Amino acid sequence: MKAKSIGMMALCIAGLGAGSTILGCQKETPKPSEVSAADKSAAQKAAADKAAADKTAADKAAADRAAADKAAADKAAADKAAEKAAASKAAADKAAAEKAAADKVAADKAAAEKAETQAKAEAAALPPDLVEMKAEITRMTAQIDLTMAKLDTLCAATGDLEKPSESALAAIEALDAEAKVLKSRGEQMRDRGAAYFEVWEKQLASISTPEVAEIATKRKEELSAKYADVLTAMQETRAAMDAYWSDMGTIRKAIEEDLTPETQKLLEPQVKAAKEKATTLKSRIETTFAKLGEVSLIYTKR
Amino acid sequence: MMCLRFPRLVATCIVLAGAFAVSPGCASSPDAKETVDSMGKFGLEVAKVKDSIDHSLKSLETVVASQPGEINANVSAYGKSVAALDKQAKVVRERAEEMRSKGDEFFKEWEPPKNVTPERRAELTASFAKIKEDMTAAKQGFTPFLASLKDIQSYLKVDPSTKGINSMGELVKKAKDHGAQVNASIDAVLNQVNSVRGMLSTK
Repeated sequence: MKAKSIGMMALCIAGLGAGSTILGCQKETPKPSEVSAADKSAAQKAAADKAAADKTAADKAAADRAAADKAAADKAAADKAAEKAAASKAAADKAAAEKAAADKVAADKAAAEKAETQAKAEAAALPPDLVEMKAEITRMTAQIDLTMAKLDTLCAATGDLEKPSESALAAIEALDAEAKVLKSRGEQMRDRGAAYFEVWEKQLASISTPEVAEIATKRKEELSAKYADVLTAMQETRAAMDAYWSDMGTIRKAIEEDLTPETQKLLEPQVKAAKEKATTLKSRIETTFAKLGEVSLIYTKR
Repeated sequence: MMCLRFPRLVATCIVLAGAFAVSPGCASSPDAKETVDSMGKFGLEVAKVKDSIDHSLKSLETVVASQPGEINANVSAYGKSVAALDKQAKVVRERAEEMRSKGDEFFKEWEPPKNVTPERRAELTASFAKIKEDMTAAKQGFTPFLASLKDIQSYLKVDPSTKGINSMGELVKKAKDHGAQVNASIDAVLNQVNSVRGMLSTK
C-alpha cells in the first residue's frame, strides 16, 4: 500500500514536470469564447457606464439648462415686476404731482378769487370822499371831452364863427370850474393824508406791546410807500394839467380876440396839441384816483 | 386737582361753620361779616372781569373774520368791549383794595373761638395771604394783557383794512393764549377767595 502510494506520487511529480515543460514551450492563447465575453461585458459595462455618464451629463445639462431657463424666467419675471413696480411708482408719483399741482392751482385760484372779492368789496365800500372825488373826476373828464369837441367844431366851422366861439368859450369856462373843484379836492386829500400819518405816528408811540408795534410799523411803512406813490401821481397830474391849461389859455385868448379865418387856421394845430395833452391829463387823473383807492382807508374817517 | 380740593374745602367749611355756630359772638362780629362781604363783592366783580375778557377776545376774533364792509363796525364793537374790560378792571382794583384792607385788619385783630385751634387760625391767615399773592400774580398777568388789547385797538383805529386785520393772525392767537393764562390766574384767586369765605361764613 505504501509502495503504491509512493509510486503514484512519483508519477504525479513526473507528470507535473512534463506538464511544466510543455507549458513553458507553447504560446498561450486565450480561449476565444472567454475573451469576447469579457470584452463584451466590459464593453457593455463601459457602454452602460458611458450611457449612464452621458445620461447623467445630459440630465445635468438638462437640469442646468432648466435651472438657467428658470433663473432667466425668474429674472425676466423679476425684471418685469420691477418694471411694473417702477411704472406704478412713476404713475403714482405723476398722479401725486398732478394732484399737488391741481391742488395748488385750485388753492391759488381760490386765494385770487378771495383777494379779488375783497378788493371789489373794498372798492365798493369806498369812503364818501373818494366817492365824491370819483364823481368829480367823471365830470371833469367829460368836460374835457366836450370842450375839445367844441374846439374841433370851431376849427371846422365856416362862415360865422361867433356862435361856435361862444360855445367853445363856455365849455372852457365850465372846464375851468371843474378843474378848480378837482384841484381843491386833491389838496384836501393831500392834507388829510399828512394828518392821517401824523395820527398813526402818535398811535405808534403809545403802543407798548412789541408785537403790535412791529405790525403797526410794518403796515405804516407799506401804506406810506403807497401814499408816496399817490403824491407822485398827484404831482404828475398837476404837471399834465399845467401843460394842458397853458395850451387852453392860449386857445381861449385867441378865441376871445375874435377869430378870423386866418387866426382860425392857426388855432387848429393848437387844438390838436391840446387834445394830446388832454389825453395825457385824463390818463394821469385816472392813475391818481386808482392809487388813491389803494390807500382809501386813510379817508375812511372825516 | 380742583375736584380733590373742593370736597376738602367743603369739609373744612362745614367744620368751621360748626365752630362758628357755637360761638356766634365772634362769627357775627362786624369785622368777620365785613370781611366776608367784601370777599363776596370782590369775587363777583372778578368773575365779571373774566366775562369781559372772554367778550373782548371774541370781539377781536370777529374783527379778524370781518368782511370788508363790516370792519369798521366790528372794530368799533371791539373798542367798546376793551373799554368795558378796562372799566371792570378798575372796579376790581377798588374791590381788591377794600378786601385787602378789611382782611388785613380782620386777621390782625381776629380772636378766634376757643374751638378753633391755633393751627386752624394760622391756616386761615395763610389762606388770606395766599389770596393776596394770587391777586398780585393775576394783576401781573392782567396788566400787560389789557395793554396789548388796547394797543391792538390803537392799531385798528388807524388801519381798519383787510390787510390790516389779515396781518393780525399771530397777534390774536397770542392774545387768546395770554387771556387763557390770565383767566387761569383769576380762577386761582376766585378759588382761594371762595375757600376763605366759606371758612369764615356763618351758616
